Amino acid sequence: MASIARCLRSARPSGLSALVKSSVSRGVVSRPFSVTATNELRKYTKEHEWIDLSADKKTGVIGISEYAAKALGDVVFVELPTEGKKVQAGDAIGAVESVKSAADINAPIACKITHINLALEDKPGTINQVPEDDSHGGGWIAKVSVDEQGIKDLDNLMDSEAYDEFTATEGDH
Amino acid sequence: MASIARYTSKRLASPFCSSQSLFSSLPSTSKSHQQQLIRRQCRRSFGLLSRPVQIYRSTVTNPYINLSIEDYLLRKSHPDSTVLFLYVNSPCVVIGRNQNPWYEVNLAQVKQGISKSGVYDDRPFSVASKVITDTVPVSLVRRRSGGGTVFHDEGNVNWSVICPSAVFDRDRHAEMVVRALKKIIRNPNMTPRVNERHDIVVDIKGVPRPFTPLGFETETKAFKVSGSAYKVTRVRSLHHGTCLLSSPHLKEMGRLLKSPARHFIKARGVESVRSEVCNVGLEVPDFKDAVVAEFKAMYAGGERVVEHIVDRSEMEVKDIVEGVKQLTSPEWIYNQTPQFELDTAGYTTLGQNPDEESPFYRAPPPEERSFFHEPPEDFKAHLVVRHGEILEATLEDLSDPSSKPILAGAMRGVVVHKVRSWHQVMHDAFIPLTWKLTAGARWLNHMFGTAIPTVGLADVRAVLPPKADWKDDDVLIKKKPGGK
Repeated sequence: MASIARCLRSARPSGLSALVKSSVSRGVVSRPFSVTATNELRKYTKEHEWIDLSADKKTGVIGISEYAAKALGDVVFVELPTEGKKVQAGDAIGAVESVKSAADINAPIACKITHINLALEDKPGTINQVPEDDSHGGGWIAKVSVDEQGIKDLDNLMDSEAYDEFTATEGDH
Repeated sequence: MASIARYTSKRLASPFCSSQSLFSSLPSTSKSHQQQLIRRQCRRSFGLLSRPVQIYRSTVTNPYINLSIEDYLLRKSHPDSTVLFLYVNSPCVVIGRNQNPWYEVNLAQVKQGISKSGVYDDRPFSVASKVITDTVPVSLVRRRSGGGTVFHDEGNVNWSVICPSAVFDRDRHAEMVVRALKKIIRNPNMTPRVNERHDIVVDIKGVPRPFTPLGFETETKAFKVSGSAYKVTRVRSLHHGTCLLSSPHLKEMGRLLKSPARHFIKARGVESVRSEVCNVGLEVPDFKDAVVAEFKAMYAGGERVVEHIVDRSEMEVKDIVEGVKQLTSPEWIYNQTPQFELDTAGYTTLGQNPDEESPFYRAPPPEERSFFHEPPEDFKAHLVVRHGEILEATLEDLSDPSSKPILAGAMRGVVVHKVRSWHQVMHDAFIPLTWKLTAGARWLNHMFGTAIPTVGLADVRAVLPPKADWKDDDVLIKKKPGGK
């Protein structure tokens, strides 16, 4: 599990590995700080969604970026995608509402929604706290299965470095 | 309207050609060829949607149609263009995208409409002695943008600005409307501004302080006149707002926007924030002209921008018809509601929370404490409703000595807005209708505004053109004002 590996890695410097391990065994990963994307396979769209692809490139996790979560302000509701829905890159799969604005969440690549993060419906604020966390209790939005088209679409996306640059220039507006 | 009937075919091209940068993606051809291309596009009425700056005024007053035209403009206008759309709706209650109509709206009142004589019977429909027939119909609308519930009528102008998402700013266009208001408000004691909630309020000087001798002590008080909401898509973002100019129904607003069920419902999603409102005291055309002038000052850059009138003929555009169908469908209006729970246990807190007192009335109205709003004694109910359907239902008659909560599994899947009578629902779910449970069913009818014949919800579906007449797209603004 990439997410656990990432927890360990981020926790090690602060000596929290024991805590992280224990919370993993409970099935709930609670982290007081947000994790920066260290996953090499995490890609970003210009519309501030991220997608994490599993090592076998068959499944993935979708969420919105930390930059976007900050820009949105307090998220008050997350409209989740429909499970089982097949979408093309750029299709609206859901929406987040914050400060009176409904903003679409778009599919970063062609994919099929397999799981949705129902916990967000009850605690939409999770998106503000840990938007780029794909573990249980994190702010991820949907888990998806990916086919060839999806992997092709991945080429149009940015890696985290390019995305950081992109957001830095966008902030100039 | 003569002032805006200025359309000529010659002017059609002029603002367009000034913005060739918009079409930098066109294949590089000779200049004349390019101009020819542009002119051809201009001739198609769709060309309007590619202009850099567009202004539309609607003559339609049906809220479903206006919101669908607005959505069409959001999705079909050129990604770099800036669009102003002004419209006035017939009386309607508009809830935000992620709101709960049972929580936010007094559905019984909305269904019955606003009484013209000002006479109301607030008892549940089943016991009301007189049926108020002389009413103004009120529609219930769920919009696509976020935010809270508002009331529209003919004294309220809706303004919406569509611009690229890259330059989206929550206050920019509210500020634009404030500038327009400042130019036309003649009352020196009234100053408009944008507040921290991105709404427009007017600070009114000399409002008598409550609980002091009349006029003895006064204060400056802010009244809300306009509420903002936004919809952001990948490339385009929409900011729309209301503006109360001369609404004749301000007094009824509180009545329409206070659900008897709100003390008993715990809802996910978005809750409205109540504000004291007032009219600015302006005429609709004056306000529209002023907003148009400010919009032009911001975006036209000295170019001439021709205004366009949209009317009912837009109903032939396929996307607009589809939009109206979606907005009028009960699935959208009711079943889009985020999950909520209705529980009689919440009753105990009624009246203990000072925030519950309505800012719409000077004093808390006695009917707030109505006997009819109270759940019957010894009746316990807990309903979980998801996407408008009952997920879980537990009912209990405490007066029965062998009382046990009844887990009404058979009520699962009941679509709340389709219920005609909760007695029937309980009966169908094999729940023994004891005296208390019968009273409980009646109370549920009252809570959900069930069993009230709708006079309000305007049925636009009846006026939709037959499918054969739908146009694919690009016939928007088919009728040119003043032209032939």
